[in-house]
Amino acid sequence: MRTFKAYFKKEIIESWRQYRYLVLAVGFIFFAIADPLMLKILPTILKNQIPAEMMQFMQFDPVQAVANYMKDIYQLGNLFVILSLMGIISDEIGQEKLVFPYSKGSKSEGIVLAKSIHYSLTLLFLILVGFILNTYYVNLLFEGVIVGYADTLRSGLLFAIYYIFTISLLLLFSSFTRKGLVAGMIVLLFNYIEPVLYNIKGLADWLPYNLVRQANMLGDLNMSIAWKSILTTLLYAIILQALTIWRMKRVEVI
Amino acid sequence: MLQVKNLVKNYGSVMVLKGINFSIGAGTVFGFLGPNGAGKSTTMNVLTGLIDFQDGQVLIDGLDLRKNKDALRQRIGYLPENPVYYGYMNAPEYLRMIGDLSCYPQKEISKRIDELLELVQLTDVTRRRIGKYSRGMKQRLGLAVALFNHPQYLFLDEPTSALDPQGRMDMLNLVEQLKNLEITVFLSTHILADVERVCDRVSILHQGEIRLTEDMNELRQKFIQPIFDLEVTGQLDAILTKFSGLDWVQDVKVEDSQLSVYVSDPEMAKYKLPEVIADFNLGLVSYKIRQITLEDIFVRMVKI
Repeated sequence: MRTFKAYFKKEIIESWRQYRYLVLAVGFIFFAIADPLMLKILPTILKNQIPAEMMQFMQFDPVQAVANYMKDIYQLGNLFVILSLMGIISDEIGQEKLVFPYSKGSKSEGIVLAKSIHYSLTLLFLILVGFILNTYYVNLLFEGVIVGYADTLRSGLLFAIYYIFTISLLLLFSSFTRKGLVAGMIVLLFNYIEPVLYNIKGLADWLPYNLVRQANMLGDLNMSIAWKSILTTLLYAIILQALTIWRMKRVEVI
Repeated sequence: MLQVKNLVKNYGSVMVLKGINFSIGAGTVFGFLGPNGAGKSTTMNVLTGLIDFQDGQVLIDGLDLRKNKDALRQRIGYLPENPVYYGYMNAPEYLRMIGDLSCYPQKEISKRIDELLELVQLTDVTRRRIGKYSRGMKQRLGLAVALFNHPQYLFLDEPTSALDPQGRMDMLNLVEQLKNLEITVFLSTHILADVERVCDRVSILHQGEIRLTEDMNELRQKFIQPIFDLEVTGQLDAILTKFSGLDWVQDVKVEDSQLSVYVSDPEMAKYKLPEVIADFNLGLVSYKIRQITLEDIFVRMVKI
């Protein structure tokens, strides 16, 4: 517990002083505001460059605007999360930053869980704030059926769980390499391959990417299917973190 | 007491430690000498439980390190050769983290931080981030980290190698202070003057093997044989060949016209050396008998 507490505090100081919170906030909150604004002014910008009959496709309602935000936070959010957290463990091993902590008896489970819980809570907070801001702006800027906060928050929660899985995957691969970039590229590749694997019959329900697809349904979300994906993904995350702890108990930190 | 029995460590097919043995009594300052690449840091890392080993046994106060790693880490302090910190923290923040990791009583952490910063003379820079510290300051902070949990065993890996003369002096003074606290210090270094100044006992490691383990006083007595320093004129090749065939000559070091002759029988050397030089028609410019230093012993041990 003391290791968990020490590392949780360390992660807060590190994320604050190394502007990691800012980078992640840009990834989720900036686009929450910028996305609806861009969609709103897009027809004006393109007015003279595309045929008039095409302009009717440029009219968005709040639901489409939220869907556009979700597309962006899947594609860009993955980049922001993976690139800023890819060295989450590998940097500590590679740069021998764990020598003092390990020599003082720090517990691997405390280190892994502190990192995992800290970044999971950070992303949960940023994603939910992002969805709230986005919902406010899409309802303000676009005409059509109003999007409910409960619907978007439910979708936001599914996205957050998807990213908890991504963090767990990063933790595991990062503990196996001394170069963060290697871990980052593997996880990025996996996450971008997932939509392709999703097309394989029978596999879709078992992939964490299913959460992203469910989230995109907003008000039409089927909770019985979503629960299955939520529990499966959380189980994957637990297994990945257990493997990371197992690995960290055996790693040579110097 | 720390006992190392037949310790073997391999990296792939490379055998770094080839079954080393030594023991260190409580309260001893133990000098661990060896040239670069001898295996000193590897030994340190094994003894502090940071890396595993293939064979052998390490006992600390009778407890097997492999089986009691967590418990024994509470008794150990380690200062690596290049201490690495979270550079965005300041010293009190880092020490507080160390206090938590070593399960130091929560209420006493602040007091301990003040004591240690005072001891290592870093009280004036507590607000500065560690990333901005000089090498010497990082080394001193490392000592504070190593000492945080009042360790009974302190492992110092080349603690003075990168320090300026004043920094080195300060570090050695700190080590001498530790003697009074009954802390067993394991000091790895290749600076022999440091060993001569602070150590009670010494081991010389070369190519993964212990070449010698002695108390410093016994070492001085045992290896007290002098070295014959000669300056001669003329061709040295023939005389060097001659020296290599003499059984009372152990080794000869040549530097320009200077010869340092290491002998096994100093009495015989006193009479025979001038004769050999005369036989080869060399001019003898100077002839001096020098008392052996730890450096000389070290050179002899790693040449065997």
